[in-house]
Amino acid sequence: MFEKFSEILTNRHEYARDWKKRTGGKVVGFFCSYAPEEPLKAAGILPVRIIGGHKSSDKVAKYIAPNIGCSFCRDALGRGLEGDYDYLDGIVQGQTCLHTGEAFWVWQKHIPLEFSYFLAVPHSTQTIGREEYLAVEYAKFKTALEKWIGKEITNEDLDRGIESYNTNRQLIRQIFEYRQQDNPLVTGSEALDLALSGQIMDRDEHNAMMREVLKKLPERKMDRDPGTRIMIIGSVNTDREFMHMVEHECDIPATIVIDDTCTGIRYNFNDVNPQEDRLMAISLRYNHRPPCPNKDWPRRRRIPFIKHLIKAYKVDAVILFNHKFCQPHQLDNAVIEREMKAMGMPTLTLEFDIRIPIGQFRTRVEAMLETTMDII
Amino acid sequence: MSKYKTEPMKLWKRIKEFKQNHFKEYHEAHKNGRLRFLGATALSISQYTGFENAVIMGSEPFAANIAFWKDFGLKCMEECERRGMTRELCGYSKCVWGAQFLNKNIMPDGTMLSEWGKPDFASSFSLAPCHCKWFQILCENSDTPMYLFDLTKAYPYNDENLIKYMTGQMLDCIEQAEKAVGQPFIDELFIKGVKNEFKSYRTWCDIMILNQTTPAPMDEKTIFSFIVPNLTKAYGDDTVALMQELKEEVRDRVNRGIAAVANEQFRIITDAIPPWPALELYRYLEREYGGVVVGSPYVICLCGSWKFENDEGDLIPTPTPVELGMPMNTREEVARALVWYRSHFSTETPYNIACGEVLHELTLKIAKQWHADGGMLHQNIGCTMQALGSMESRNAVAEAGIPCINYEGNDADPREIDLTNMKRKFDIFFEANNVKRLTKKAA
Repeated sequence: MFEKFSEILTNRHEYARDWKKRTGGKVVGFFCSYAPEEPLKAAGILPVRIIGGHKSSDKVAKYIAPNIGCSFCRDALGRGLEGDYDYLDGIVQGQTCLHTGEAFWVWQKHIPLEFSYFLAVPHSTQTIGREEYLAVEYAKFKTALEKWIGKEITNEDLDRGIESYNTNRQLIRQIFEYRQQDNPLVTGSEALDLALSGQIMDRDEHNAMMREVLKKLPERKMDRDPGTRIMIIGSVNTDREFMHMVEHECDIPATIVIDDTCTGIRYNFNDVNPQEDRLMAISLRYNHRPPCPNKDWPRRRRIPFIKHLIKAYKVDAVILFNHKFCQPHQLDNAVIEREMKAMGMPTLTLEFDIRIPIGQFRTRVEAMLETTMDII
Repeated sequence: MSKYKTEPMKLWKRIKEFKQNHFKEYHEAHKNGRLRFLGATALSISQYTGFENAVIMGSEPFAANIAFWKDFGLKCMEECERRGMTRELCGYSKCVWGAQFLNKNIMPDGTMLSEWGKPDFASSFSLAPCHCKWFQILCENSDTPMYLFDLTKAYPYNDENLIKYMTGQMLDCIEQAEKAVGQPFIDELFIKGVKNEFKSYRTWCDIMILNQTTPAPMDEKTIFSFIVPNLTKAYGDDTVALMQELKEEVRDRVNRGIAAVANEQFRIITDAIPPWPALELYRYLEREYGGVVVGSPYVICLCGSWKFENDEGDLIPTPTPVELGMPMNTREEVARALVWYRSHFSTETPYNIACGEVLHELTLKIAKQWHADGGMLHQNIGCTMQALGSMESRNAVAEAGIPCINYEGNDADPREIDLTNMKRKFDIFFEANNVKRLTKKAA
């Protein structure tokens, strides 16, 4: 049912090249999910999230030290330097962490493109004036896009972009809701491929595929023991091998029923509420979305959000992960782990690298799963 | 015989006393019926001068002092790690969290204190995102009212949207602080404090420019002590006077050809916070090779405000709002002027990764304008913000024909400082650049 999403995700570069050929449009890569895709869509551009390939590249070490740079960003940058993203016409960074920022600057300098834009998204999404500030930054971004593509982006264009992305997020949430069932109708691996493929596809095409899935999904029969219901919490999760291992290779059954990641529900949780000032409407959506650790201060909004998901998806155990050298998630994970333990929630913390030690991780996940069973 | 005349800095003892006294004033504030404010210096701490009885401490010097006293610093690190904080996190954060967890602190002269120094109000700026997470955790753990500023993109400077956004936050912070400490904010004091900060910072720029002279009148290890007044009390009349005196002394050294290092033969730039637990490496460079560190984006920008001339040319001091005749009669006007001035290359804004487009250019300009023969850039593992841009800064300097290396270290964690390997790397660097060793190498 989800094979097509997985196939496109696996062959994402071919998809983007083909899209360019079919439409004659431009493709823009973005690093972080705080880059607003709606104005890009409105400009007739395909936004593609830049992710790694879980492959090392010796081209990165000249620019980012391997003993400080986050493994995800080094992997993503490596793919750029190796030429995997040679179809990009531009790149955009919606400011989040230092690591994605540095990957952007290195990319801009060493992989010249027609268009590059660093968008100053507020670090905090709680400060006074942040919504107005971001709306003004969006206006500057829109002007830069218009200058590049040589035409005005009208309100009607923005409405189309907003509608496409709102629909996309709504459909993803509808499909995710089937994971709340006692025997979830969607596995975590499928959910990741579904959501992540959206971030590299034309959303209208992605929406059409999801509508087809929703026609059949209610009747789906799962022939697997759901086992322990796991929530995965971390940053950008592209590790399909890990997801597959947890759900299909462990001796103890388990299903990843929900996540707090920017390739999952955190990105798809809220919509743009239409209003006359379209850029302000988009600003409100990005300011009010569930935050990543970088943007979660002074008050902690992540922990209540995580607790809400735990309840809604009947979570039995939590896997916290961070990419190697991802300081923002390390900072939050210590606090979240303490909160989870206070709730009596079995919790496992893992550190992902460009490649993960899958055998060791399997042992650790199984050990954690054992603690959720009555056999101990 | 030495190449140049040298003599100690006359103000050395006074600067040390200044630091000791300011720390004492902070720690004894409650005993003296005063309020403690702890603030990140990333944008400014002068907004608290409007509180009549405030003692304001800059959180970075507060942390650096712990890091310098490495035995205590190490205990702080280990205490954090016992509580789930990983080894890779910000060194300064772990110093202060550790002091908080242990409820101990240390004075600049090494005297141990039996209380860490809980502030009555705290603030930080998102220079690096972890700068605010630092204070989030600190304040949650101590139930301290806080205000965390969002400093977004600091370049291009003079951006009206940023100035408006930051000014709004500063005014909001003042209101929140008033409520939290229950005392009125006096605008006249605020105006005076901010004007003093402008004077102190502008004078610092002049002092740094004097260090472009050969031989350099000051070396960076010495400069580290002289940054403290501006970092933690730029708003004070005493700091204004002290900076003026320092400028006169440095000018006098330049006029008389007094060198910081008598055998100066190789001028070096660095880029970041030094490895505080291992400052002896500076003396190694001087003693063994006549290598004098003449500046860095860190010390030059930390206590001044700079910009590119015509946005493309040399690095020059930013004219102060007073010099430019900006209106400074109301709280809002002063907050705006302060934000405008400090959102240039000031404190550590050049490192903010949002400024990646100019950090490397800035480092190269400093190398050229301060007449560096080479660069030794600190890959500071204790500060992600500084370490991330360091390799590209090295590339920019080296590609411009100025030999440059990165060396790995940590601003706070002595376990991550391998002095033996650092020295070995420096030896090879000097040898490769035909710099004669001044002493016989130990067998």
